[in-house]
Amino acid sequence: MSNDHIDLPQGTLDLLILKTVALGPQHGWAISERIQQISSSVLQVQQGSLYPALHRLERRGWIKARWGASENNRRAKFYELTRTGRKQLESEADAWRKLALAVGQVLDMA
Amino acid sequence: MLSDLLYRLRALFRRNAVDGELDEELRAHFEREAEKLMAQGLSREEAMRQARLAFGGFEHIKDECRQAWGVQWLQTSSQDIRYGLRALRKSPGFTIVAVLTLALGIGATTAIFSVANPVMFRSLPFHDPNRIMTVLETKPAQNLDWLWVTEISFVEWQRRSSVFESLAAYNGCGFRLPDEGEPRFLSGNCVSSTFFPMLGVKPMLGRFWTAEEDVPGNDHVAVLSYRAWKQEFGGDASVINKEDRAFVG
Repeated sequence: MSNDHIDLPQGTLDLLILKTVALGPQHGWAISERIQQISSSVLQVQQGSLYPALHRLERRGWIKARWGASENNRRAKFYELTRTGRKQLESEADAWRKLALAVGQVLDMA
Repeated sequence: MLSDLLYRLRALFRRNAVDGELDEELRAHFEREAEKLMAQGLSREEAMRQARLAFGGFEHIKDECRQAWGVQWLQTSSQDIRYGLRALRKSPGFTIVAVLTLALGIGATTAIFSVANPVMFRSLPFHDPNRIMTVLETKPAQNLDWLWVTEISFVEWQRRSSVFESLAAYNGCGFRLPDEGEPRFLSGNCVSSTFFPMLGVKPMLGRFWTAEEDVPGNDHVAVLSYRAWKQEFGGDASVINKEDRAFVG
């Protein structure tokens, strides 16, 4: 386990889940792995917050769930992005980029 | 949103299924994580242990997920209610006293209100009801009030007082209908000619009487209520204006 991981700030987990799922239906474990891999293990998803987040997103209609067979032929719950989820992803990603840019500008001032 | 509502309904009514799914989902994740660790070379026990550590508390996560379903408050309230009912059942004496007290309180309040509502709160169905008042006499020397007014006083007040826009007198009276064969008695009121105009009502048929007809000797005028008209005269419109009868609806 990598030691220089950063804890996810509040609320960004939803954004990352939506993005991961936008690339194709995934089950919970795969989503967590994906986020870890893509971020070169900087982002470690706390398992304790992953599933509550997934269920919350499902309730709000941004992702929808389907039971299916995982890669090792076991039953798993797959999540995929809905149409409203896609819109939500775009607006949240947009807001995040603006925020990151602004914070960076403040931090970079001499 | 509709999906939100449907989701919550399912979590509420298909609780067992949803709970079972949650359990299966978490278990699948746990196993997959353990598999990954074993593939990295750990022993089975070590892999399970580390997977369990990474996961945190199973029950804790489940609780958080149930919170995310948005129906927990309902579950906990219904549990609390059921607990309360059980406690009440255990002490029947207390329960009976409490129920009786509540019943008595609610019943008494309702009864009083249903009496008071038309009397005190509902306004009279007349024109400008807030300005209609009952004027009575008092006799302070004998500590009396709420005394009925004599005709003489009424006439004097009408003539001399400028406090009121209009004064009307009314009295309970009995009436005998003579010309229908066997005499019949109707209860009613004797009122002054100012009575009906003050209330702002209009007769359905015919007319009210005037001040000239307010004088004894000239007062062969009557106003029939709608109900009396229907009952006694069968709603016969020709009865009006016969012997100066007027009708009000």
